[in-house]
Amino acid sequence: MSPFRFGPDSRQLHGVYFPPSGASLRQTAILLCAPFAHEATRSHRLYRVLAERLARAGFAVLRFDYSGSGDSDGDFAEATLTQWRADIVRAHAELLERSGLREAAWVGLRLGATLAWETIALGLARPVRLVAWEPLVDGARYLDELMAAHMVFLRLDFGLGWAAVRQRIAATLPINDQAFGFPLTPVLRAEFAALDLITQDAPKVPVTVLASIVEPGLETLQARFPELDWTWLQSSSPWNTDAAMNSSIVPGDLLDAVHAALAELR
Amino acid sequence: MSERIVQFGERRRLAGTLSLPDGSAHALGFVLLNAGVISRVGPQRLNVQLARALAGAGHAVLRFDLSGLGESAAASGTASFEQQAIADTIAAMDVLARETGVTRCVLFGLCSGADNAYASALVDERVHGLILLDPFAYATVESRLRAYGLRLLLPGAVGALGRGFKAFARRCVRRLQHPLGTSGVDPAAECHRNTPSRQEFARQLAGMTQRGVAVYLMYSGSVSSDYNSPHQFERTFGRELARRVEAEFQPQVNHTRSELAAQRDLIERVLGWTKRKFG
Repeated sequence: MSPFRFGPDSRQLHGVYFPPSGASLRQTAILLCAPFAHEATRSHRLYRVLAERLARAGFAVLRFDYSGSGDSDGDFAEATLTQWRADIVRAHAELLERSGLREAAWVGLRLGATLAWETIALGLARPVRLVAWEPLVDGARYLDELMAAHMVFLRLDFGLGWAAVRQRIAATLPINDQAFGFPLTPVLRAEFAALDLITQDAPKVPVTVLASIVEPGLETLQARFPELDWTWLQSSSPWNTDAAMNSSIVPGDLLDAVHAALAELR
Repeated sequence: MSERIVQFGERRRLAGTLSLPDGSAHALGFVLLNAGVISRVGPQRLNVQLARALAGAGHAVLRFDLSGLGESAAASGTASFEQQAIADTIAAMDVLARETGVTRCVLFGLCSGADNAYASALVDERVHGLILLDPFAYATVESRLRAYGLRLLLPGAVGALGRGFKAFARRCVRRLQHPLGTSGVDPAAECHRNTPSRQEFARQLAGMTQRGVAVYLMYSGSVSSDYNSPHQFERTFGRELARRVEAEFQPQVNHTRSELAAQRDLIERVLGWTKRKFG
């Protein structure tokens, strides 16, 4: 596990490279694309364990933080989904250079899966496979969910009643300008509002969707793209929460599902 | 301000990020510890924001991951988590001194990070300052009564009275059972802390302040079941210790500073306190 920074000095990204080990080294590297903000905090441990496991199976693996998030340069208030898609492309190139391999598959969780999907559909990069793990289908719905979850969290953490939470939010902020301590700028909100996988083309690479009933749009997405490889998971994790002290949860069956989706890669 | 990654400690298994000011650094550096099991980025990216703000004010700052957390490998020894956390924090101060030349440190920690910073300050005299968010809190009869009273005054109680005494009584019972709120969850309690006795905490704080350590304690609204008054520290530990330790009750913010205003407020308080205490 080697943390490092990459990209131009003006805006470097933080990455962690997991060199391959084990008896058989694979010819395909794996890029892990993080979910959104607080969900990335919650899945940090999960990605580390997944990366270590894939490295032991012979894969070179890179996880990284988008611009303005995690340990990367920049302010979250400057973050845009457009920039984050460009960051995926940059991380893909960095992974190939660092591993010395010629091809990579991508794994994305939640927003990471959606951004990876869009990046491929836009022709910005061409991995050999995408594992889309519970992708966000409808960005506008996600904004609503963020706000609702933020209010629930305030209620639980402060012990405030619903009326007090609504009053607090109405008194101190425009609705939706932040969630779980991360700013939701007008640009970012507009990008989320426009995000809709149903209206997009399927990525022109093999796609495995790891779906759960927790994400309500996935059945619709399956109806739209039945030709993709669909695996319905038996469990999920409450990603959209700020249960910070539970951020080390690593559901083993979910890691099994991701690993299985990559097992046949050479 | 610039940043770079450092790997240090036994087998270079600990990972951290150094934030460095553009010009010459202040002789006082900062070490930021993990909050719970969250990586060194911190909840809501709090450690990143604070490190960059402090570096902007001229201080070298190291945020790092304890053994087994974030991007640090697990320790190979048999030390307890608490002992290993102290050893890791000392190693962090070593690398900060080696890389930047700072000779004095402020340790910053939230929740379990506060506990680990506190324990490290007890044994390492390079620590000249401690900033602890929701550190050990000691409930008093007064604070318990206030917590219950606050619950009864929350929105809904008056309306419930109007809907009938019976319903109101049921709500009162629930609130007495769960003075923090409907969940009854105390985020600090979730850290499973080894809290020293009140007398020991007082003795240790007195010893540190006599050694010249500046101590800044901040208690959030999330721990108001135990700590809920601006005067609680003085009433618990006496005027003499209260004169030497800065202790604030901040009911407007929650445990992990989940609102942007709370993050800005924290950073301003830390910068202001540092300026006042260390110039």
